[in-house]
Amino acid sequence: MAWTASGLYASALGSVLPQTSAINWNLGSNKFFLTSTSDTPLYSSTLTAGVYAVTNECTGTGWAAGGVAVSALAAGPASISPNFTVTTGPPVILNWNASNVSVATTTIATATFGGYFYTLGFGGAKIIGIWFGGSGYTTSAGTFAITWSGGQICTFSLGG
Amino acid sequence: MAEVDLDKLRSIGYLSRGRTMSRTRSGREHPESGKPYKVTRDECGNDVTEHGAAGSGLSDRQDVTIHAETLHFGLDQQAGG
Repeated sequence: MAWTASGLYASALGSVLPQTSAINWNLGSNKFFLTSTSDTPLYSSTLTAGVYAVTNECTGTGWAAGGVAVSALAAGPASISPNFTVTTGPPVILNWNASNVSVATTTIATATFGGYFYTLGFGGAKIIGIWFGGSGYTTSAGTFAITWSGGQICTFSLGG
Repeated sequence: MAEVDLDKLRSIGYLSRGRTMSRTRSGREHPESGKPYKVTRDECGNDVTEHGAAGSGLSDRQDVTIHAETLHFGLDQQAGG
């Protein structure tokens, strides 16, 4: 089964709530890697499953296996500087923001359909999957870019 | 009773390329000396930009820009809770 939708990994929140271990969503050492349509997201993954895997990864010149570090995802290269802000509402909204992705001089020949933010901790736990849609995307000595609508990767409605 | 042109009726609302086909625009980075480029925006709103050397086609470089929509997750109380 291919993947067809964006989603949040249960481990990304499940690691925080017990306060025994926590994925830091904003670390510069976190990475973003690309996959083909053959990948199957498992958003129910716990910290010990569904980790980063190379099986369906899309790589190439300028986009190494394992993905590009958050600290180098913006033009320059520079960090996309992910951060959380709160909109007081009501409803109260928790926003995960970042600068746009722009990685220059890439050649990614295998059609990519989506990508994942993941942490190197916990054996490589995934945080969130971003589904691009379409019929797959390739670059040739060019820039791979993602623009976030309103500078937001995702938001959480907290009620109120 | 006036005659009805069936061919005209059939053409009403007809979109030759559909509502979700890719849209393309092209140009030059500089009107006279710049490299030509062609941007194709697909049905998902993402852009593929092909660049070429002046006068030699559009195969030298290809950029991709994903226009990601914000993902919205709900952690708020549901009705009846």
